[in-house]
Amino acid sequence: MGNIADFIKSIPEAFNSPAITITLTVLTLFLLFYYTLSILKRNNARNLILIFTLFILVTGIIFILLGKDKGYGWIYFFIPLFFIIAVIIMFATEIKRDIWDTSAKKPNEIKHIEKGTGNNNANVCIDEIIKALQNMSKNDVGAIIILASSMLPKAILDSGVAIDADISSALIESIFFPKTPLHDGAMIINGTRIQSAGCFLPLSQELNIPKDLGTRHRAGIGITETINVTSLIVSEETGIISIAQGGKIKRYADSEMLRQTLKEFYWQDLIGQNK
Amino acid sequence: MNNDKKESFGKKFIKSVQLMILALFLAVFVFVVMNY
Repeated sequence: MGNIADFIKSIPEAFNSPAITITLTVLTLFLLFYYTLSILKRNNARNLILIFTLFILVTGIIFILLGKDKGYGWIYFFIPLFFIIAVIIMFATEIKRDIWDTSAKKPNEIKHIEKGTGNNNANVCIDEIIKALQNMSKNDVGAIIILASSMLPKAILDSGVAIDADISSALIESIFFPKTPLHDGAMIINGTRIQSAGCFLPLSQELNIPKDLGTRHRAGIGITETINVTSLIVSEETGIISIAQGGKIKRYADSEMLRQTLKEFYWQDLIGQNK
Repeated sequence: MNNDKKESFGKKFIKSVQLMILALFLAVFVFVVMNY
């Protein structure tokens, strides 16, 4: 016990040693810079990396020349901090997506697919979803289905009507049948259940989306920009099925592509257990 | 295919190391200026 008490008492003293203070300060700065730079790199803002580096170097040199022996060095910390805050504001959406990705559940944590019956359930669900999508595509019925794990924001789920039903092509087609109250919103599929329908999704603000894609496609892409989910979209005008993942859209999805996407959603290892 | 994958992984690794070195350099530089 005495040893533990001594150890706890020695913690504040350890921070008085310059080596630890220097290491911690440099480490914190390193992590801040590394995360900021990696955000810039991932978003193809390589020019900003150069500007960021030059900005810090030039202002640093000016600070050294002007503020010599005045002891105002600590003010310099606000210059990179200003830049980091600017990056956080500029790339708020991407940072949000990072946070959601980190909190995404791992395959073995998904509770709604039980291991014993997972094989049958998942295969049936995949077949039913594909059948519904293809029927709707044939009849030019617009639809948007979100394949989500349990981490969707509550605001999105609450914007629709809770359903909590087994997945069936008849039910999916009924919900998206034109002129029915729920046909205009998104359907959320959570594991082997249809969780809710008629949900409102955030629209993508991306400028590069082709003009022939309407609001439904924008909503389908928008949700995948910030949250780690997959959208399956059927165009009302053309009947083309599209798959949106990570803010990118793949058009003209055939049954093989859909099966692959759905298998990834239901985790291949679970489906292939009894093969 | 495999070689392509290995190369792209190697490139990715080198690029992330480059970024780490840059971040470390900037961290040390800012620290030095702050304590100048």
